[in-house]
Amino acid sequence: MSYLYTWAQRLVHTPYPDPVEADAVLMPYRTLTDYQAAEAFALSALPQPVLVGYFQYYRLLTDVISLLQTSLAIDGPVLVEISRPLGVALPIGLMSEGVLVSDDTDPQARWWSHAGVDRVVQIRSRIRRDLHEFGDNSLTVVLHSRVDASDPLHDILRRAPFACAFRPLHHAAATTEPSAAIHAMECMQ
Amino acid sequence: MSASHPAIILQRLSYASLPTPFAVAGDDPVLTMRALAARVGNAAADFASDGAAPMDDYFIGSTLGSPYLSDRDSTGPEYRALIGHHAKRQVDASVNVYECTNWAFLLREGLARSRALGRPRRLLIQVVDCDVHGIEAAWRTRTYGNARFGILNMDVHVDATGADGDIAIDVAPLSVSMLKFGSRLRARALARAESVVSAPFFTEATSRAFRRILRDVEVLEELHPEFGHCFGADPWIGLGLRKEARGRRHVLGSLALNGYHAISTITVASDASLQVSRP
Repeated sequence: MSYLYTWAQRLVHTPYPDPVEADAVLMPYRTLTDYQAAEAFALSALPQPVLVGYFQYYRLLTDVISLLQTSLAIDGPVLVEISRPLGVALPIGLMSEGVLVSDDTDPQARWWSHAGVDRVVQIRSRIRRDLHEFGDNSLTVVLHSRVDASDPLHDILRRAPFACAFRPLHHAAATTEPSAAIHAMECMQ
Repeated sequence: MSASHPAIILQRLSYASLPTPFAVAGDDPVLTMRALAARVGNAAADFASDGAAPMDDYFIGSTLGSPYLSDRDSTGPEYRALIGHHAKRQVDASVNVYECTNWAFLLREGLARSRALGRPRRLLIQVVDCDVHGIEAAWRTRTYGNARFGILNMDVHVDATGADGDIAIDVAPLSVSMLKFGSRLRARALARAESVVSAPFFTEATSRAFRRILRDVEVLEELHPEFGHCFGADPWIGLGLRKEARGRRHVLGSLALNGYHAISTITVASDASLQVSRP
């Protein structure tokens, strides 16, 4: 591949204005010792707030993928890196041919970028969906391209309806502001 | 003109269960993660050291998850690196979000790579399920009854130009997911003569209802009483224990708790090695 373009942003408020119920699913614990066991991944002290539920999270990823697929002739795969969600079904868009969701997209991006295809998209989501999850609420999109001599990513993604909920990673400091979600209304004005 | 050779050929399979539970509450999950990584990597190394041509791709699929096994801010990178160290090769892809249908996405990825390069590929696929926290809900499930942890190893040859390479993947509302899954399994089996279905292991009442959907096709034995639920490995264990499997075409399917299902046609090589250790 000759070109590598990166769009790295942090979600700073809820990307969709429509109200949504919290949809996290509790693990179906069987005994009280299950709570003791689950303390190993209790992470409530992380600085980044939870700004999306699972449903909105999947909607966001699906919107990003659909936008890229309709704007760019992607002949390689869309590789999506997300950590294991609990209990909420993936939308069919994330299960479709040409999309693979995995734990670490780097080895696949390396393979596909040497496989003779023109464009491979790598999406790394670190957006938290629940208090027990790691993440700095960043979303990074990398385009591995043999055909784009200038960056098409920023023009495509900055016009997306969800873009106003993001700030460039180096401008968006970690926040503990729990009311960030209210800014979502501004997003759609 | 349709291809005469199969797109997906199972050349070798081995399955062994892991201690279930593998950890108890209060154990250090990092140490448990390292112990699991050693077992997974060693199983891959043993399996791949049969003197045949090297595997093109090494894929791992899991249903049970933990940030300690997958998250890059936790010990996910160490887990994958340790597996690679013991396996003596890097993991090319590990998937977790697809639950019990994970193997179908890995076959599809292998076929996509075969298509991209225009030649067949040899895949080492492991289906690994193990709870590293000692959470009882992981092996005493509310939906699938008792479960068993284990490592399934498979040597699969894929060729995108071959026949029967279409892998059906879909999601249905939970209220109808089993009916839709069973109906599609049945339709796939009826479409081609001599196709035998290998399905997930279900508890008695569920199995009875499920097998009614598949009433007029041949379905392999229900092994839940002996194995419990073994996540994505179920249909492969059933296949591995079938005495008449070699040289035959099978329809394999898995159903995920969230309503996803995956169905694929698998041809077992006439000289395939199939080893399933009974619990």
